[in-house]
Amino acid sequence: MMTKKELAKLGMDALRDLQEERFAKNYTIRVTSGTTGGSPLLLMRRRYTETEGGAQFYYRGVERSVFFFGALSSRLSQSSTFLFRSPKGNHDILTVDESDLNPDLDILMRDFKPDSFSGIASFIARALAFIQDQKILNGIRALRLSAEALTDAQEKFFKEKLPHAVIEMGFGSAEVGNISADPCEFLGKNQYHPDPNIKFEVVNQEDGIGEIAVSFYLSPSVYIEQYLTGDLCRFVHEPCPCGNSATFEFLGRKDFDFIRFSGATLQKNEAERVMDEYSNYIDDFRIEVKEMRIDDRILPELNFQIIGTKKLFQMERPDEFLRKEISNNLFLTLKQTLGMLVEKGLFLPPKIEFVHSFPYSNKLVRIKKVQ
Amino acid sequence: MKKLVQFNALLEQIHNHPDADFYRKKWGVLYAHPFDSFEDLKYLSIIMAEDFLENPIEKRLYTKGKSLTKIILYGPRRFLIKRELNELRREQYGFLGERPAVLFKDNHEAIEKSFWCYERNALPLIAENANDSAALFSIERYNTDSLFCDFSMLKELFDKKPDADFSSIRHYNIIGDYFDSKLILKYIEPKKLNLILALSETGAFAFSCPDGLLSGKMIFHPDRNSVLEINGRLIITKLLFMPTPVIRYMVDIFVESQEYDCNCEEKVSFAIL
Ligand SMILES: [Zn+2]
Ligand SMILES: [Zn+2]
Repeated sequence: MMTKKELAKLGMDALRDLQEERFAKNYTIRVTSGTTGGSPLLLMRRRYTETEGGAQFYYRGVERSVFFFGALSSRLSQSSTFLFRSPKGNHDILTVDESDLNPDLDILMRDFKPDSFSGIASFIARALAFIQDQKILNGIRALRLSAEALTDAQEKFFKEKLPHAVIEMGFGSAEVGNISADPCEFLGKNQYHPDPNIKFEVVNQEDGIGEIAVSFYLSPSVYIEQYLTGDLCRFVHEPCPCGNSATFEFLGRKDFDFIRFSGATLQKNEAERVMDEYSNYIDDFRIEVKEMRIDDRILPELNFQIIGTKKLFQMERPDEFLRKEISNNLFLTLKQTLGMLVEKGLFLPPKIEFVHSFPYSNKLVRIKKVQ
Repeated sequence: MKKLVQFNALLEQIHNHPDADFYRKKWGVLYAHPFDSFEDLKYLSIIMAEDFLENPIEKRLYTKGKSLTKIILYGPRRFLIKRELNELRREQYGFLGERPAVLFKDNHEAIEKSFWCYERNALPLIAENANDSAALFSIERYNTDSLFCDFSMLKELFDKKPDADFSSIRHYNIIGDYFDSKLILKYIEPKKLNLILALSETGAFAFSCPDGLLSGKMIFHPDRNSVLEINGRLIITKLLFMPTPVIRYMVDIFVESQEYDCNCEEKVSFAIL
């Protein structure tokens, strides 16, 4: 297995291929900031050409695309692939960042007349709050999402807001780039065929769930072998009607969307489902998982940070109420709720903490494991 | 002379354009004859940022082609400008090495300058402007030989790490409409320095005289794509389509013509007031 550190060492090696090829547009640079753990990383790589997989996805059927990616290097890499790979002469891009999310966005979109949005689901969802003109929203024919697993709530929201948009999902990571092939119409949500240019493996499997390891050429002379992307997935065993036999379902970021600890699993999806049931009481939440060492046993503890509604604080003991309701509803294994695990003495009782806001971050991280 | 030929061609296409009427409306009966000299510019009315704000972009587009659209902040309001890739290539943003890094406070500028590098066949590193240490790391790791940045980001970079080892950088191209020359010259040798006067909506229009920098003076010359009316408040005419042509665009930069004896080909010189 190749670690991030080893990958970082190879970061500039593609330069010699570029110097030989002498065509800069075939290359991109990815920079990861290191804010979500680890040190920053610079990785130069060759883009796929038109004839290789994963490329047509960018421009097929659309001409004017808005790109919503948090990191500048992702925004540049995605939007330049769109422009450089599109065959026709009049394709146009607009890249949007945090500072562009304001009421003017509505007017500017009316001017730009986009036919597609591309980017990170949570970012696009936030941007849509500023785009009121139904004519613009109706004009979106394709919604191209990557980097995050799409939740049911997000999917419903996008379908309502953008009634004419086909939702197409791609899967990749900041350091690797594309991992999935062009989207397949037969696949369900968060399901992908692996990019044919990449050797795709699922390693460290437990109950059918494992970590994604990819092997691929960063550039013609630089081979990356079995790099762990930090994502969890499971193989889908039914063959796809399109003829592709390999399908995987992306479950989330290891330790961010999907936390395995002490024989249990906390899934962001499951947590959101429960919090949604109590949406009259809860505006937003974060969950931290801690494994506490008590005597010689390891006891996990869940710490809930809650932004409560007025209704919640009209109750006499809002913390008691939430502790009970969440414990009884949140499943941490196939059959056991948090409450059952606490009762058996396998978990510490959950902590409930009320807050007014959460610090801003580019990626929405609702659950995480802390040391 | 070459500039005049270019300008007359631009004027002719603006005059004949079937859809875009931004300038026809502004100018009324267009002074359509070819200009004999840039003295004739005075017959065309001046435009200002408000004109961009008030006209949708489709009325302002005189060419089509693969392009990127930028959001321009003007006071509290915003408008769109498009840059066509083919023409963007001709911008004079400075000296490009093999490993350029781009660092701007405004993300739209950062993206545009990165595309410019690509169009000139160099692979750009776009540095994260919201994360100083990541920016520093990537600029050093890339072994950057030419930096494209605005003054405020450059200042942040040097504030963060005054002893930053940028020995690999041979060209500092500082792009924008504000420079603190004292501060810049404190950190950067004048022979590595290139100050480019530019606005988001016009692109580059002037560059610092290298002879001037060597003697510690900020003297500017119009670049090869621009005709400047230098008499108090600056008026910019670009010879590129952009694809919204910029003709007699009055900006908030005050300038004064200078007599300056230097080795540059361009003989028009001015200083910023
Ligand atoms: Zn399929
Ligand atoms: Zn000079």
